[in-house]
Amino acid sequence: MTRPGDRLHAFASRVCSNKTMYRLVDPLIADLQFEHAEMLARGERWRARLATMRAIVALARVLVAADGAFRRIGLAALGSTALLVMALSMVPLLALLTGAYSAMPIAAADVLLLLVYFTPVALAVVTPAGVAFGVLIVCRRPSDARHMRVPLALLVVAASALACVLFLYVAPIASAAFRDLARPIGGELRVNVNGSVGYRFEQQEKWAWLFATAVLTLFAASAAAAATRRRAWLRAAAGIASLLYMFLYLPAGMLAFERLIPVPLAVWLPNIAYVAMTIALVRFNPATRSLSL
Amino acid sequence: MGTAERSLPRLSAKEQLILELLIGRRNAMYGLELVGSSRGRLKRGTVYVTLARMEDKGLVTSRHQDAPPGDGGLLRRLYQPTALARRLVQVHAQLTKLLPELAR
Repeated sequence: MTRPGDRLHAFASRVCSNKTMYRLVDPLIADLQFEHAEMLARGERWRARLATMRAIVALARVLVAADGAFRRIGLAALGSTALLVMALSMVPLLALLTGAYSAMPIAAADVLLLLVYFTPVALAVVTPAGVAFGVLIVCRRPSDARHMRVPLALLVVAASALACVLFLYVAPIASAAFRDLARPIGGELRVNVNGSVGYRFEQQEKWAWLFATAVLTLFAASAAAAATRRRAWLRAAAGIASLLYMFLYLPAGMLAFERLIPVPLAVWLPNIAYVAMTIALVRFNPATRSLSL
Repeated sequence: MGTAERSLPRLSAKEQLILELLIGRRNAMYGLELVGSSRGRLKRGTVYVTLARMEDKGLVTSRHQDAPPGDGGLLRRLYQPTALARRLVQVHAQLTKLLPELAR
């Protein structure tokens, strides 16, 4: 018979050290199992289920609190992402203020709405770079990237899940609302016609973006591992390169529009380029040969 | 100031609360029991981390519950304060009384 918490325990044993399991996870799960059994004995089925859900939340908090690296990388990634979202959100606002969007008039009262619609898209776009910045900020020593591989992997999974939800569900709604905002007052936004190169690029682009967090995290971790005292510039260079990633889709798209390269290649070109740079950093640098991310 | 005095562990508000609960109850308590007794001041997600830290500081000791559960589940872990923790709580209480008088 499976007891409540058995699956949680099995999951935690995969990501936690024996010490963390013995000191933190085992007591939490044991208390849950006793509490659950007592509630069932009293006939309180719903309270027992609620207790299980509360234990799941508690376990998540224990895992984060127990692992200082996860908290540090998470906070650094969150802070970097928030700063990048703010910076990116300023672009359309500044463009509106300076009259650069004369072909896309939006009433002054709708500027706040524009920001609301733009933020989820901006968040989806900058999350990979934000996570990469977090890695570069926290991994100060070459060995840090290797020691922090579990929290890094958890962070990549969490950030990729967020990007998945934003790109596949939130961003299309936000983009449609953005277009509706401009349409009633005479502005026309260029919408890619179904079947065109632009349409195909747009459709395939979001799938490439889903892997962006993993690709950039690997790139940042390999750069951080190679950034010894003599090569401190590598950290700054990797930071700039992470930021440039999101702009690489523009030239890649242009190449596809000009039919110089096929759309699938154009869409995956930034990911391919950064994976190649990561491999180069790991293979040709002695300090990163032992990187086992 | 001697080495022992210099290395006297500091108590956070949560640690002090846990020690007060443990000393007040006299019996060893498990994590969830501490959460229930604290009337919302301790949370499930933090109590185990705080207890582990207190164990490192030598403020509490832990042991597994004697009676094994019928269905072979995990054993509950019971915590009790050490002599150092009892002394520390006494010192904190005395200091709390003394400080307003010294401030006059």
